[in-house]
Amino acid sequence: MDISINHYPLFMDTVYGHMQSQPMHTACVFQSRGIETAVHLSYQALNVKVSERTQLLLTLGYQGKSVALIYPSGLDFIVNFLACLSAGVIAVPLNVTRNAQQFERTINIFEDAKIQTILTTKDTQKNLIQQLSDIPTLSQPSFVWIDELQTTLSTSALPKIQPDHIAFIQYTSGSTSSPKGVMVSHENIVDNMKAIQNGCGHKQGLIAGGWLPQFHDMGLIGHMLHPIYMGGTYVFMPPMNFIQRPRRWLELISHYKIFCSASPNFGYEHCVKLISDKEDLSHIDLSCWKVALNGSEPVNADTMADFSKKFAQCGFNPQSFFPSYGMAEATLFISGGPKSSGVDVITLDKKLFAQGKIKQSKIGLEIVNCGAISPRFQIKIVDPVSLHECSCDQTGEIWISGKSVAQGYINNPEKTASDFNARIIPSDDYRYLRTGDMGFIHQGMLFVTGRIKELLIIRGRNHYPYDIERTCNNYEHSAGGSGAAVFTFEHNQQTKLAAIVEIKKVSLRDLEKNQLKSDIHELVSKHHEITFDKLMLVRPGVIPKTTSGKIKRSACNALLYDIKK
Amino acid sequence: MTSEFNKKTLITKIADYISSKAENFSKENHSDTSFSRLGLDSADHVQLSAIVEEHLKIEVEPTLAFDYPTINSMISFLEKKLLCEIDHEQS
Repeated sequence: MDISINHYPLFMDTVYGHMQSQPMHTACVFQSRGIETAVHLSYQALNVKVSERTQLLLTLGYQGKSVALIYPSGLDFIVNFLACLSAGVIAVPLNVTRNAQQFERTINIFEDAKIQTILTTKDTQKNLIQQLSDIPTLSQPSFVWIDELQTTLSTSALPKIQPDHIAFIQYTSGSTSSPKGVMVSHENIVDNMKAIQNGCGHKQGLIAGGWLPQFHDMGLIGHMLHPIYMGGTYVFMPPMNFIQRPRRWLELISHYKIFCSASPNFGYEHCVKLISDKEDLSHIDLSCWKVALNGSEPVNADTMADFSKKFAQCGFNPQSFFPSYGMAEATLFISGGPKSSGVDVITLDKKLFAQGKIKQSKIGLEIVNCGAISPRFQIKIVDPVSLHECSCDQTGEIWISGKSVAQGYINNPEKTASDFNARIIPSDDYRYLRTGDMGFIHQGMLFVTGRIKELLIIRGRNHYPYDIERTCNNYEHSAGGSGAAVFTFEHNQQTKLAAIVEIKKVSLRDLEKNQLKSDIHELVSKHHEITFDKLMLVRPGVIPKTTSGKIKRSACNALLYDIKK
Repeated sequence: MTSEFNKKTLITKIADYISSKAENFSKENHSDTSFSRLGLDSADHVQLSAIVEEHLKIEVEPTLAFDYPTINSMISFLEKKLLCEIDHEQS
């Protein structure tokens, strides 16, 4: 294939290079169940498949347009995503939803990104069409579906793609009702590939992967694109199979000698909790696992200590732990490492910390080191109200600037201006991304202490209390209005989810409380796939609110505690 | 046959798991109540399939509890599946 000579080699230019130079090397391995179910793709096979798909997309005229990619875990997603990059089609990866309630979020995203075309498999299409027909309020939209049966014989020249063109749109942020799609450019991808390579100490031929979903930034950028960029091998399994039996993740790492595998904190916790001491782990050797990246959820030092202890017998080296910080708005990686640093914790004076001051002390508040800030970024700690830069002993909002910072939120100039084009006062001529996370820098290392935005991160997924409250308010026996409060509380050092819902007086009088609770559990589970650890039903007017009607979440916490006693 | 005995202990194992997650659960009253109504989240659903695998020593889909969302529907599905497999082995 003729590779167009850019001054700036894009992701696919590098990958086409690998396809030429090492056609027989394994590019991807997907294992749906046991080792005998593994399917492999060499760089040559990948080239053939990606080229076919690229030609189809070009023939159908999708260059420069957005299309949704809705695939179950597997090789199809890789081929189609790379074909989009190669054809200059803007890929919008989304998860396969399980029911009509979840599909409504997908519909909101279609509207937000003005998507009319869905790339998927024949089987998935059947399920999605069923879900569509279950949405009562929707006038049937006419989507264009492209599945594996569609092919073309044409052989057009590949388009010239500029580094600043949008490569794909990542939906991880934003509430259900107003989703925010992060526009990631071709240059962003390449820049972040270099940041990851440097931060993790990866070499050519890297073997990386695990169980992370392919449609989310950490699975997509870190597990899938990165090893392919490095001429290595992407090894993966369906997320559900990990949840069902977490030992499979460790077996995957051991069998394929995976060097870098990432997970949010809950994945490590899941292994600690659900791999029983009776299980035979003698066949598992984790000494190959040099970068055990922990990110996208707050990193818990206790979890990592428990994990290290439990899997020392498998040759897991605690120094391999790699706490990190990143987000889709920065393509993925912002800080982490250097490699083999393990878990480092700083202890701060609690009283001073409450005033935003950083002072180390013997006992106090422990905060995990999220690693070295990639030299590809310029980072500032900024007072989120005054927008002045903080002094080095203060906590503030983390602001970043650099070539990995995405191009903004699609079709949302206001949010793009406020979040992606922030300026420090007085301005240093840089435009910054406001991360919404609070933290500080200590000896070049980033420490993340909390969030400004009200955002719940559960199993690596972002949830907005507002969305869940709305679901509760829509329940037929709810008092409605803003009669629901969703918030977190701490129990045995674990973060738990609670809700207080105001119920109509008549319903409280006439109906079984347990029945009402079950209804709400079912609703929330269907819409958000999460559940409340504590659910309290109250009569209207009990939820503490500010004078302007905003829910006081901290007062709700106290209410929950009072009633528990 | 042993399948009756297996069924009973399997139901007990499933019920024990649900009790550890859901308030006010009872096997007697909730065998036809959906797992999500009882307050189980998606990870809990997947965990139920792992309990089944462990007990029956067969492989089931991780989505088992989503597709058969009550104790009774899940058990009756498993009974049929096991019968089929026995038939298969005998033929």
